[in-house]
Amino acid sequence: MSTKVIVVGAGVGGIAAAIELRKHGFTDVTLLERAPDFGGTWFYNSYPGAACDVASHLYSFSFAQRRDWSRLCSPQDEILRYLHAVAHDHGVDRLVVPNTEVSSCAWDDESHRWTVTSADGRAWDADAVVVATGQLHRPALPRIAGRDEFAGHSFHSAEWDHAYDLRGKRVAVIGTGASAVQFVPEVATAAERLVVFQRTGNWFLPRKNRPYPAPVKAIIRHVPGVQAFRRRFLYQYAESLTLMIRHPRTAGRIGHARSALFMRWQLRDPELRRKVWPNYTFGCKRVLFSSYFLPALQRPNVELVTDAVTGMTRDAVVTADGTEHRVDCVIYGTGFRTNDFMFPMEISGAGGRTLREAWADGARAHLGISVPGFPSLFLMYGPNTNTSGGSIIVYEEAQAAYIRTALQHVRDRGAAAIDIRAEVEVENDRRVQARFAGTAWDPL
Amino acid sequence: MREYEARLRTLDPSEFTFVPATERSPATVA
Repeated sequence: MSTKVIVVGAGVGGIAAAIELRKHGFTDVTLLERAPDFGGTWFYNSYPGAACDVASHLYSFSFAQRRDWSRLCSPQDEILRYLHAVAHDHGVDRLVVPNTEVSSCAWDDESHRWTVTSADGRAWDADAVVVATGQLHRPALPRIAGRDEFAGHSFHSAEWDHAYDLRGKRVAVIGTGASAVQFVPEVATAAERLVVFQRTGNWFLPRKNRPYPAPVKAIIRHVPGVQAFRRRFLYQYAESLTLMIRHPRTAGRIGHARSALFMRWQLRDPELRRKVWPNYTFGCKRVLFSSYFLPALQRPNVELVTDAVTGMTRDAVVTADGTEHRVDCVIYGTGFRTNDFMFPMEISGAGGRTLREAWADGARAHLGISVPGFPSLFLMYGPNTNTSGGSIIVYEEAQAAYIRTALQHVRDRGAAAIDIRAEVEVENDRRVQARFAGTAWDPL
Repeated sequence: MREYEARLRTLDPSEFTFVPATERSPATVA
């Protein structure tokens, strides 16, 4: 009897899992996708300037490398086209059931199988469930007093209103994270006036991300070994970033110095420099790559506000100093509910124990993949698997292979499912937590 | 990346329990 696998989510992780499983004889795979099309993060995030901040020669599948990327870090539409092409080439696109928001996954102690139910009442049974719901698509909206009273236009960066014309408008951007630093330079050139509200500054490293000149593209495309060399080089570069985060007092000082020099060079105004400057260790918060964000803040039509946002009125964003910043539109660059993982989906495992109960003290999983008491439930991009400086696609390929190996063990034994031993997960988590000590994430 | 990738290359079955296909109640086999 074939193993029936349901993959929840058809983004990068879901596509990686489906391809890996099918390559190794697991042919009964179905991907359930909330959106009308697949692509996950790259389907939802279409804001102006959206691009990956990992170089495409690394931010791509090892088995589907391309030599014709348009630039170092591909824009959103190029990545989405790539994912569509890969899914099509591997026959995975026809396995996707779109417009299907999974509401629950329930393990049955009698049948030793899973039942996956969608919000509109459809149901699928499965021997294994791969949860590949990603982290960067469910908007996190700030709790600001009076936010509902704002009568102007507003939207989150992951739900960009492309029909709304920003030209001639007074615009507020709340948040200065990885998305905002990409779209703020675009908004700054369109809006009449832009007010950027920053809670925490960022460490920046330069990136112009211009299209490759034709000769460079030709070399990458036609000279044997150049593509492979670039991928290896970018891998090592990403590893060096991780090294800086893991060792802030030694390797991290190099990153800090490089970033500080770049930021000082870009920020000539001492007052703006003071407002932008981060007050934490290099690498603690995601290091951002942009040569355009800091110059955008220095445009005459742009103001950076670092006073805390305390409220909103019908036509203004109010800050702690009492200033009412009157605007026509508010764009929330406030990130994603990354700690929610697959929630609000309800997951119940052996004995009816829910994942919410299992994670009452925080999300955790063995190698970020397996949770004790949830047999043959596998997470992709789960707890503690965000890369510090690398490509999540590299991680997701490795996770997909691990999940496939687990299901091969189940198949080879004629078993129903595989369940991580609780003591193994506890020991793994202890080791992971211990290794945070001394990193940039550990208060010095 | 390298360390995590390397760790995921091997799966030690002894770290897991296997739920048998033939029994109706949750149990484990080695």
